[in-house]
Order: sequence, then C-alpha cells, then structure tokens
Amino acid sequence: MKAIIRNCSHGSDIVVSMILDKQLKCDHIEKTTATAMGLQILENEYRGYAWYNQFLNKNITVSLEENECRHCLRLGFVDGHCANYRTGLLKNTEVIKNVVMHYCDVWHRCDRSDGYVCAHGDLSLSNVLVTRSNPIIIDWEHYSINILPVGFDALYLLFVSLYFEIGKAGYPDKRMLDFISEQIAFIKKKGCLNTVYESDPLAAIMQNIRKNRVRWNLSEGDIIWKLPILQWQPEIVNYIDKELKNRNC
Amino acid sequence: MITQTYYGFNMDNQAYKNICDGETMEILKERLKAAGYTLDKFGIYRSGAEGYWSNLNRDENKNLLERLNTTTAREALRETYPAHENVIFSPKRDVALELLDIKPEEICADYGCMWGALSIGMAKRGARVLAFDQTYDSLVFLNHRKNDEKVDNLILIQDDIRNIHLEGLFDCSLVNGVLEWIPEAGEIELNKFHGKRYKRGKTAVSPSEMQLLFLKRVCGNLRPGGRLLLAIENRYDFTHFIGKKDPHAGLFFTAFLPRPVSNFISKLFLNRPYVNYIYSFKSIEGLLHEAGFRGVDLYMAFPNYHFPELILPYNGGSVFYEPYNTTGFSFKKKVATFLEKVIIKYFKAKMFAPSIIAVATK
Repeated sequence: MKAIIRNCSHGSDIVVSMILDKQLKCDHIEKTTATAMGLQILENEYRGYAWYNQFLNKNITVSLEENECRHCLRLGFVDGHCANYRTGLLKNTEVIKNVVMHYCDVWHRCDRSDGYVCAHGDLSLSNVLVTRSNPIIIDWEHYSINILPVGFDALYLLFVSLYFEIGKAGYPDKRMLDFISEQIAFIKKKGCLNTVYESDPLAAIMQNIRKNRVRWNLSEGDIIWKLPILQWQPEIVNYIDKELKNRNC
Repeated sequence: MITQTYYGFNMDNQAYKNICDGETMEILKERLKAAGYTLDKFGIYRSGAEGYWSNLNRDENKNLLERLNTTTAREALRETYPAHENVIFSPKRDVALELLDIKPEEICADYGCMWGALSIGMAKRGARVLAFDQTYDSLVFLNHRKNDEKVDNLILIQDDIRNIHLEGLFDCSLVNGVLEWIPEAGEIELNKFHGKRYKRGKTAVSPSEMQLLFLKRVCGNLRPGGRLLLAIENRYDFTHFIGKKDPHAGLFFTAFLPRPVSNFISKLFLNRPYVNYIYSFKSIEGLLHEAGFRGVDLYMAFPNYHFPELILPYNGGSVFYEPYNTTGFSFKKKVATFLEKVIIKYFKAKMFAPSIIAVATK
C-alpha cells in the first residue's frame, strides 16, 4: 500500500509517497513526477544525495528511474524522526547543535578552496531526520554546486528556526541571540563560514537567496512561504545582525 | 531533443511517440465502432444517448465553447470562468491515480470524465484512455484541451455511463465523484441545482440499487484482475456534524441522517427526493464486494478527494497524518483542518475522515 504524503507542494509537480509493507511499516519513499520540470528537480535531488552519500558512514539508498511518462526517485527508508520545526529555536537547541556539528563534519571534508561549496539549499529542521547516531539531511531538491558560500546551510538552519520561534514581526531575546552567536562561532572555528557571513550574516543569507532565486524554482510568492526568513522586515534583520555583531561572532 | 508539448510540458520525441503508439488506439476505435458508436466531426464518439451535467449552465457553456474558436482551452476558461481553472488544470487533481499504478499501454476508462482533469492525468501516465461523459459540451472542451496539449492516447465518448457495455476491455477504471450522481436522471445545471428547489419525481429503482447496478457494469467492463479507483465523500465526514452542508443536496445533516429522514427533509425543502447517496468506509467496501470486486483497499483523503494533500490507508494510516499547507484556506477551513488533525492523528477516529478513495480489484 501507499501513503501519499505530499501532493505537488510549493508549486512543484512532485508527489511523495511512502511505500508500506504488509505491517504498514515504511519500506521506501518514492518521489514521482510526469513532467520534464519535475524530472529536473528529481535529477537534482539525486545528485544531491549522491554527493551527500560520500560523507556518510551508512549510505542512503537512492535510485532514479526515468520512464517514458513517469519518473521516480526511490529512497531507502531511514529510521528516524523529524524534530518539530514549528516549535522554533529554543525547544530544539540540542537537535540544532547536532545538525550544526554534522554540517561542519560534512562540509569540513568537502572542497572549500574558493569559499563556495555544494549546498542543500533548504536546510531546516523539517529536512533533518534525527536518528540514533547522526542527524541525516533529507530532501535535496534544491541542491546546488559551488554557488553558495560555505556556511549558508548552517546559518539558514539557525535563522529559519529563529523565524519559527519569533514569527515574522517578533524580535529575538537574549537567550536566542546568545545561542545563535555560539553556533556561528562554532561554525567559524570549524572553518565552515565564508567571510561574507562574518559581519551581517542574516542580511548576507537573504541576499544569497534573492540573488539565486532561480535555484529554488519558486515564484516570488512561493519563495516567501518556502523560505520564510524573507518575510522579516529590514529593521528586524538589522537588529539581529547588530546584536550578533555585538556578541563578536 | 525536446520537441513535443505534453500535458503542458516539453518531452522528447521518442517518449511521446511511445505513448501514442497508434496501433492500440486504432484497435480501440474499431472496437467502439463495432459497439455501435459513431464518430462525429469533432472527433467524439457518440452512442446517441445524451444528457447534461455541468458546473456551468447551457448559456455559460455556449459562451465558453465560442471562445475556443480563437484561443486555447485553458485561456478560454481563464477568460470566461477563471474560478474553474484550478478544478480542471491543477496538477493536484490527479494524484489519486498514483494508487492505481497505471502502466504505459494499459487501457483505462474514465466514467463521467467531465472536463477531463483525470482523463488527461491517466493519459500522461501513458495509458490509452477512453473518457465517457453524457455532456457533449464538456467533451468538446476536453477535445480542445486534448488537441492543445497534443494528447493522442485519449478517446472521447458521449454516452450514458450507466449503460456502457465493453466487457472485459479495461485494465483500469475511474469513478471519481460520480457514484453519488448515478441516481440523478435528467439534466443538471449544478449552479441551479445545488441547494435549490428543483422538482423531481421518485426513481423507479432505489438510489442504492442504481449505484450497485452501475458498479456491476463497471466491474463487467474490467478484465479479470483489473482495478477500479473510486472517490467519493465520506457520509460520516466530521465536518457534516459541525455545520457543513451536504455536498450534493446542499442541506444540513442529510449526509449522515438515516436515508428516510434525509428524504423527508429533501422533499420538504427542495421538492425532490434525496438520492445522492454517499457512503461510509465500511458500506462502500460492502457495495464494491457486492458489485463483484474481490479485493478492496480503502484510503482516507484529506482535506477532500478533489484536491487531496494527503491520501492515507484507512487501516493504520492515521499515524502518517501530518499537517499540510493551509495557505489560502478560509478561517473556517483552517479551524476544520485543526479539528481534523485532532480527530485523525490523536483520536485515530478514521471513520470521520473527509473523503474515501477505494482501489478495488476484480
């Protein structure tokens, strides 16, 4: 049996199904599409997983089947759970710390010579599976090669988690800023932070997204929903960056 | 090299050619001719049986079809009745077809195809599709769409869907939002019908018997091992209990009240008997078995089967329920979605899911 869990979400042409065994346990995941545009996304995701697999001890099984009319990306089931991204930053600090460590562990090993790296493009808690060992990053459909500066995904994770904590009009408190500041310092220490992010990390992240909007294959309306930090007004962005600067990160 | 446009997107020539392999299509056309259908100038096969069921009234349909002379089907609809564009063209509409696992070259029937949102979906999966509807105007529109998008593996047929005799022909059949309308004989212009007084006499056969006969016919037209995908509203959809009107009669509570009571209410307020029977999960399973189907897999569709965001197995599928994007939903719908989460995810009260999708095997 199947459980269809996403139907052309965010304006894509992709359907995500869980293929269940007789005990209704997930055997594998299928992402299917019947359009050329959808196929491009699946091919990109396949490349993303192939890149990521190089750095994992236990690979995620991935295969792409291109048929005449229907294309299917099959992903092995990873036993884990997603943290509740909607609860924001402070309730997820442990998970976020682990993901940031995992990010540094993976991206530290990839080629960072010119400061630009392969990037996930949408690293939020909803795209992380918490397993018994390492967190596993999933949903690589916005994978890009050497377009985004190193540190992008980790910073995006921190800010998008903050977004779900404070909403689009709120201001972060001291605890939130301290936590983000600590994490940025850690990323920098591990050599996974491009210098463009050192002075105004949030503004720089937003600029990266806007400049490379085409990478996300999203319209202006959809991109704000999908990448919600773009909803922050300039005064909030300035406040966050200023506070982070004051903390010397 | 990308040269063909198919379902609005480009695909390479070979892939397109494979889909439209002419041989099977010619055999199907011959079979239709042998069954007494005649081909008209618009390329629609006709049996002589006619009817009218449409969201648009006759004048509106006339207006829409006039626009087709100068522009594409999608543009014509956008210019005249933009509210219907999503109903026909949204890629979300045909997701339930994933449950059928349609293989290229299979022969599929769409009973009551209307504007073809799902017929096109089946065709894009490579199947040879026979789309049946009683409303000629809808088929003319679909024919234009088919030509616009260069879909050659789709044949349109005007007939009374209760009376189609093509025994053992189909690998797959689709009855999407149609079963509940089977007992409604005669013409229906939906905007003049839904919740409005509209005199109708009593049918000779009970609505449930008519529905059963129709399903038996659908089953007879499938080859052994053939699959049916049936989608219908759940009689016990939790929203019916909290003020949502019956989706067909447009009355409060008639969906789940005992049928004689609903019949009395319908006669009182609408001047017609209550015939648009919808079912619970258990009763639709029973009906399908009675119609001759061996295996029935039931699924819950959220928030409805027209634009499903989630389709989960009825047995044990509640654990996979996850909140979905409700952007664009009204406040009422957002509240309903919250309640849905509580009912389905936490209380596991699956019998109150909004819509039913059944995959039945002959």
